[in-house]
Amino acid sequence: MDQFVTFGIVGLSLAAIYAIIGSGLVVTYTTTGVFNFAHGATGMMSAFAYWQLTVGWGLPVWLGLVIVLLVLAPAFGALVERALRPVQGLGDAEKLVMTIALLSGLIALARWIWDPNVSRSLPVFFADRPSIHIGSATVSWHQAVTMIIAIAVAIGLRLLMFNTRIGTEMRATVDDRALVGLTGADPIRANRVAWILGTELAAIGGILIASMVALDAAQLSLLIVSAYTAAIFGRLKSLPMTFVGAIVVGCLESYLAGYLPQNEYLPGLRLAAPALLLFAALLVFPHGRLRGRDHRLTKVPLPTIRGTVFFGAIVIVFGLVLATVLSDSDLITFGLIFPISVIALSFVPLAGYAGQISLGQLSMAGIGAAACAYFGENGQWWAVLAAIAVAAIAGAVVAIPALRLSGVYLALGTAAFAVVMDRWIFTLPSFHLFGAEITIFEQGSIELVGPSVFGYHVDTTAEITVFSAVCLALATLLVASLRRSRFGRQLIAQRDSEAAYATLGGNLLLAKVAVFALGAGIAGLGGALYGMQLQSVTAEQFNFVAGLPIFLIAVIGGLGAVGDGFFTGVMLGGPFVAVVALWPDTQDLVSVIPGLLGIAFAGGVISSGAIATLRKDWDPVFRDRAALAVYGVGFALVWLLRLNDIIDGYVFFGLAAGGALVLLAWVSVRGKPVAEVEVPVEWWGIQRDWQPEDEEVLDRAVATRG
Amino acid sequence: MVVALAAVSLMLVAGCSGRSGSETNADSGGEKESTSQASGDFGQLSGVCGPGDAKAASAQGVTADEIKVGVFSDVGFTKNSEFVDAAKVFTSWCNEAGGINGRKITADTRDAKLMEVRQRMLEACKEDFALVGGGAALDGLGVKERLNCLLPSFTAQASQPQSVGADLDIAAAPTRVAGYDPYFGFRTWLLKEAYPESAAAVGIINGDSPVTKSLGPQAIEAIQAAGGTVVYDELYPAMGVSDWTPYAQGIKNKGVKGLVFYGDFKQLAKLEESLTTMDYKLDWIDANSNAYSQSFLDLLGKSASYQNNVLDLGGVAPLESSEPAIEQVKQMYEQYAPDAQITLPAVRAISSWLLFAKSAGSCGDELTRKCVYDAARGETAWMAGGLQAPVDVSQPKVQGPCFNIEQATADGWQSADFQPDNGLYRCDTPPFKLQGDYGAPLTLAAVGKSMSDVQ
Repeated sequence: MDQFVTFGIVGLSLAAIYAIIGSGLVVTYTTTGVFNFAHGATGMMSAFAYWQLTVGWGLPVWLGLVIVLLVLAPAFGALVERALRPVQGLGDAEKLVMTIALLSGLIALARWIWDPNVSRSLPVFFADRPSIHIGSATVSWHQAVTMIIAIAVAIGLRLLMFNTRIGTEMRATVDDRALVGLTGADPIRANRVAWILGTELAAIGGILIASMVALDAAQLSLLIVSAYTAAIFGRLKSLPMTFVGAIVVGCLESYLAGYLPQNEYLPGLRLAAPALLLFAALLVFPHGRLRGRDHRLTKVPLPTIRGTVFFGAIVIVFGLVLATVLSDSDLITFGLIFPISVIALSFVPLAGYAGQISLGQLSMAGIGAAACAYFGENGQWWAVLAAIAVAAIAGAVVAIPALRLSGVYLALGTAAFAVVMDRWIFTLPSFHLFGAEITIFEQGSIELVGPSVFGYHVDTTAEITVFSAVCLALATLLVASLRRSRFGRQLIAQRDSEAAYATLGGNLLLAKVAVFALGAGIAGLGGALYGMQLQSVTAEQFNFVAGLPIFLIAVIGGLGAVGDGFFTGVMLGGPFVAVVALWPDTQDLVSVIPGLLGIAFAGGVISSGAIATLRKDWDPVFRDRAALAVYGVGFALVWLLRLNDIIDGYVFFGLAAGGALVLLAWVSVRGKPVAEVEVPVEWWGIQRDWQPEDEEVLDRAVATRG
Repeated sequence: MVVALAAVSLMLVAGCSGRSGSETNADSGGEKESTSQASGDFGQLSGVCGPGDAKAASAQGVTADEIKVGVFSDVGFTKNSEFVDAAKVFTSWCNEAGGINGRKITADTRDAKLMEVRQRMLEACKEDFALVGGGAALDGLGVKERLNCLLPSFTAQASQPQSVGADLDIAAAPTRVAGYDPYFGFRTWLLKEAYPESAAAVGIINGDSPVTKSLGPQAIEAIQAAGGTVVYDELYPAMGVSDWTPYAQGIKNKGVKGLVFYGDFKQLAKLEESLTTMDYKLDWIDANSNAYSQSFLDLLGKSASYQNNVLDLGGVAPLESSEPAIEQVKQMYEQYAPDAQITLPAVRAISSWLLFAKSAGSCGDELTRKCVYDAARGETAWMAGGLQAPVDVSQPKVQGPCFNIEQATADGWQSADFQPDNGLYRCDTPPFKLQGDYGAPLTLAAVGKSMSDVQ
């Protein structure tokens, strides 16, 4: 009994923190429609700032609290609101990406500012006072304060929401944004208040929890997954239910730590419990229709087969170039462009066509890698196919519960899936299934070898790179032809409206299961290639957090475009890696840049996708055969020079890239815009300049009609 | 050995931070202003480094005036520069004394950034004469390449089973040997001599990272062999624990008297805070040698004096001892890297550097990998000039018997009362051979090579 009460108290104090953090999530989500993945990271930053002020610079506690809670947190909240304004009208994936960028940016920033090798700790509040004894159980003052603050937050939020003008405005914004705007209230102001309030709550939670855990940027940012579960209990809407959820989660965690029997297979289960609970909560609680049909659906571009074949050829040539030009060690690093591309390509059918946001694709890749290592010990050629099949089955299994979820709930569900894989499944000791002994990532790492195709063993790094490039080209072709097929159109139809799709006789279950299986299969292929490239891989390389940058760049690239996979791979595996390789001192800066860039510029690019923007510039080049031929010859020449070691790698890539830019400039000067782009009549004077003859054309058009 | 832990718990960020390939050159030039004596003597070793007239470019990375060696590190990921600093200190010191037979040592940092071990190994294979005084958390990923190119490694700290005691790996400092429990003397002392009443209630907590997970079962086997009973065996998420109280309560409920902790010492400090808050005092807590630092004591706060934190340095002289060799290391750091911290792995790295320098020096003009390797293997009682208990480098498959135990106090680390019988160390417990299969190191035969290929 004694023990039961103690665990209960621990659970409640945890619950208090989760409730504070969770209610912050709910406040921002309901008002702005953005599920803030960086909520924990915000709390982490406040905890570090508070540490710096009070411990680092020795300011008194009250002053530190005042500066963090009344100056820094509101300023940061306002800043985030400003940064997110452009994506406000976009889809869930785009909104998610902004907060994911923020998350990774903040973690990198904190690690840059505060050297992770220096141990820091925050003292608990009232550490000098003796604990309060209730019966045989003890409650520390810190725990008591935490619970009191949680209650105060609950009361405060209630008062704010129902007894103030701004609260009413915020609630009104939730109900009908447009109407609020019409009545003269300012939805942007409501958003700003919501962000400030959310940041504030994250800051309070962060400071409270930071003194109980080790002060570590990544750990603090991700520890509060449990708070997400609490928010899901409240269906991201109801604050009281969020508090109930927090209590359930807090107590469950505490009691599981105390009572779960000890067994080889179970510890992982306990570690994965918050994620499992999140998954369960998502499935059990009914989610009304998601708000957010107000965003416009992006058009899915229709790739031509000829263009895709051409694109595939470029990819293969690129692979050949890398394989012949780079040294072995560089090739291992830069050759990863292709496996990452394949993994990112899996987002195209899944998220781009079918609108299903999955954050678990890298886990699927991990499954593929493990399966490939399991079946292809000696480079059996079919191991790659088996890897695809196993990953596809896993994808189909995930798809069935996912049928109940959509939008941000689906993203959370798949995130929970990925975390369960990381913490439990991937770390399982070997077990028996249907008589076969299965080990997933047993000794920490698994070994992969290249396949033997038609009696030829693909084993050197260069061969594997080219093999990966060929696989990427084929997979891209497959995805492009899917877009043109009946099934592709069905997927897009069910993305546009599930209800309409079902009404017209479409089978939602089938469509979703199929597309999840396809996406997982492609990711599995990518995982297998990734493993072959590195020869041995560990489970950590496939964990949830490692998958976030891939999703981030894929969304910025534009999920609908088949070139998105390659774009993501090149972005992730190319420039940033090369910059750090050339100037190692820039590493800290470079690790912060993607996140910051994402936030600063994604708003502008994200609506159409970076690829669409790029294509606008480059399409004329591809249409200009003469220019292409000249470049092709020049490139081949430079390549030959490099192969004969007349120029070095830097000069080679410099010439190749410089040549491409010159080509772009040349084409734009030489060729007039190929065939005047048709601008609809209502956009004249806006999308293109008003021309004197327009007036006459309009007059005539009106006259004819009359 | 458990160096991986801190890294693995941070591994989350791997996806966020840039991954890339690079190398930074440790500044091997050294300070210009030299102290009074630039002798190449270290502790009891004389003439480790010194001038000479070597001429031959006798092997890869060796020229008439330079020896190029690689130093593995995860510094780009963990931002822990202990191996880089040790390399800088040693090479500066050695080069100032004249180098090795007149050849200057150039240390190239091979920064694996956790995941890029294999890439860095391939680079080292192409350029370096040998690897010295380094280590990477996931070093198992690179052993195959290293054996393929016959690159000897004077590893400061090996981590994964494939790598610990692999062929062509020379462990100058006392190390774990595959198939043995390295802490058996320590455990025996804890359970039989110092705290016999704790033998009936030993607990173990382990981080859930794959690298350390395998250490748990080995520890349990050895504890049982040393006469202990394990009553509590738990994993904690390396990603972080939101509240350690349930674990502390579990430990209290099971009446655990002695606790073995494999993991990040920041987490241990929080666990002890919970234990101390509930007034539960254990007989001993094995904090493992990773915790041997001032920061751990700072984090412990009240628990430093309330709980009894002990750890086994495994036969390396403690930093607070008055051992002249340790004094000299401190002085060298003061001169060449005044801002760097001297850590236990750094001392181990210095030991590796010394063994390398001495062996290379003995080869004279004809400096080859084979010569250095054979010379190093010829050391049957290597003490690194006094930095460590004697290690028989010629017997890499036998666990050394020595240990020395440190105890945390509020005023700093100090030697525990473990009755040393050999200087600072105690070497009377025969090593314990583990029965279970915990992985084996890679051999030259596994990559189709043999010792006769080493030139």
